[in-house]
Amino acid sequence: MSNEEQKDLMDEFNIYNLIRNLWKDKYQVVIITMIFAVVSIVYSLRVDHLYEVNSVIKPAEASAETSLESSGNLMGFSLGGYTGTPVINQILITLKSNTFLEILYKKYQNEERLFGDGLAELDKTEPDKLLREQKKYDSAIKLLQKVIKFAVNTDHNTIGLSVKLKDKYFAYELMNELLFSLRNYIRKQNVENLQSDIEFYQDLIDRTKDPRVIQMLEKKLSDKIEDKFVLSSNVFTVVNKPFVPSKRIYPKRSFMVVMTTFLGGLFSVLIVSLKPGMKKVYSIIKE
Amino acid sequence: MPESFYYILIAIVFISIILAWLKSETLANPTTIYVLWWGGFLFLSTFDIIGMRRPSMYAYQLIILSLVMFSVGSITFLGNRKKSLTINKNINEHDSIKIKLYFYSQTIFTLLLIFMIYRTVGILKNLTPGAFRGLVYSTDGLYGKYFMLFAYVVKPNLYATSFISISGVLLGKLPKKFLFISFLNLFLYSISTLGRFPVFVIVITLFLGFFFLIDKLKIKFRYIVSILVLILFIVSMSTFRTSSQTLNPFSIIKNYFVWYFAGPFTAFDYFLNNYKVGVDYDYSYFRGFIAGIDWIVEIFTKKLSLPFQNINNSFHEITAPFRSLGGSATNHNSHYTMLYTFYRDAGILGIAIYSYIVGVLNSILFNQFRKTYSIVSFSLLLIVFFVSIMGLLKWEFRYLWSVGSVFIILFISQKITIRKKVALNE
Repeated sequence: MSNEEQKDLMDEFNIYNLIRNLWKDKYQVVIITMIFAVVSIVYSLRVDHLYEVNSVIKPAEASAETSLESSGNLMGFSLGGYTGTPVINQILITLKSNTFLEILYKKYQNEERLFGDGLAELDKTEPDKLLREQKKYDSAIKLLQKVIKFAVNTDHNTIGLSVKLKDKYFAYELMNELLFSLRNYIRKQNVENLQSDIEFYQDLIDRTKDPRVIQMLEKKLSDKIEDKFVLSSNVFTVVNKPFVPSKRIYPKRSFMVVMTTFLGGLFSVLIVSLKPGMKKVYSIIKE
Repeated sequence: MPESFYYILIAIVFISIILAWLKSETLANPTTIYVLWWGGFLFLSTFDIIGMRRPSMYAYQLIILSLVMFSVGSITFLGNRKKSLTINKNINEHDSIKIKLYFYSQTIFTLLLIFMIYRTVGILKNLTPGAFRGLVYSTDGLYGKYFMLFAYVVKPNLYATSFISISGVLLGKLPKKFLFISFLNLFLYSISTLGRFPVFVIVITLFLGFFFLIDKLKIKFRYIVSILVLILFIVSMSTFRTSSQTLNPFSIIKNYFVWYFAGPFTAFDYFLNNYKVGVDYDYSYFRGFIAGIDWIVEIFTKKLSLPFQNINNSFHEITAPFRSLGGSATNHNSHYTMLYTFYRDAGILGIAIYSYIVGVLNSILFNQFRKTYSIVSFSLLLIVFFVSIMGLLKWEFRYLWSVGSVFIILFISQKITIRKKVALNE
């Protein structure tokens, strides 16, 4: 083999080069893969188990957001955005809001099964009372956002809720509390909003003398009162009731180990393939 | 969004670019543009620009996994450039005649497409552009009895021709008039179907072509103007299709950009949240990855009355309904990223393995291109890389046009028309 050919074989990539390098560095490949495998085994054995409690709720009415108009363009896109205040949208906004999560925080602020010892730690480390409360609030809200997840199903106009925790019984309790608080919170908000609307229309009727306008306003008023009744009696229906899970959802040990070892194998091949380039860079730096 | 997500994303992008540059000795490699493209839109999707729902952390983890696996695969197989090659612009007489024949035969398609535009204008008198788009790909719509001819012959041919002509012209091996023929046909096809995709293919492919030949080409002002004109065409088409007089082009571009390129992440998250394996679907084990072939198999099985279920039908069942992603993305369908296909094929393992394979494939074609600078290798690189970056929207190898184009490039272009040799500089 001439010098030029030898150089080509070193520099230009081909699959034989890679296989040859892999064979040459077979111990490195095996060691890197084994490291990935061992780390994944240790991690999967030591990591806390997580249980998930699920529930599906169906809002009281289909919303403008979730039911697409049949007259909408089939293949293009319209830029309508939201119309009105859809119930699904309202639930989503509520679930995201700190004001709502604060209700859960206040109820469970001393609950170690939810917040662990993170909040209790702050009592020891932060001397300033006001700052401590602010920090505790921030940490608790962040953790609640991590624990409580939700997803919309626009095909069925439903919202899926999930709570992931180490303690499956407490996860079940929290889910039930979440559903209860959510229903009450939205109901209260709806009724308050509609009450102000009703008062507004009532005031208009009192001040109007034209019988036709009064008739129109009374129709509006009766609609609002009807809405108030509907929304105060039925915010959403629980389609899928929560139950205590029998199996953990995390970690899935065998999958985790197989996947990590496989990825480790591919990473080791990458590292071996980078060696000639690294050597080149090293020699350039050295020169 | 946790700050750590941004740090991880930025780290992946930069490490990938540096390692790819180290291996290939150029920044104009597939890994660089892929990680920048995907990483950029991933970054964009974390902001509520048009009010779309933000994907869950689980969806982001899978997308990051895919990005990492693509980088690992592509960097592992990237080769460096030992010798400085120049492009041999000569084509032998035998091949030259065949290329001419191939391109001039495209005028048959030009006539067919003009006929289709005539039909389109007729249909549009009674239908809105939006409703017309819904009928384009049905056998009762625009194509009628010509549906098979257009789906199986014309469409793949139009795309294959454009990839070949862009490659040939950028390499200086083909005259610019071939580019005109292929672009004209794609424009006619775009107008007849009111579709933006054909023009989008031209824009992206030209951009990729320039990118891969950045050290061999000089970017001229007129090239930039040409690409801007094409973008203007896409915007005009969008305005026409939405029949919107009130929206200004800037708001359309903004909505397009964010919805079309960041929306698929939210759509993929929707799929993950609402469809469960074993309940709503079963893994299709590699069939989804090469589902474009199913369209070809389907012809024969239908003729022979054999029981055969095109895997695309079950894929479409999930992606076809128009869904709201929140904000102004009110009727989204079809675009669920390529990860949807990979996940349906084999779950998380599918995302890891297929992303790796896509990375490997791109690097092998890139190496081949740099070794030969031939029209075939460049065309194949452009089409495969186009499909890879367009995987942000969906996996195009599930469709006949992409698989058909590859077959045409391989079997017609390479074996019959444009086989040629490249001389070394030294």
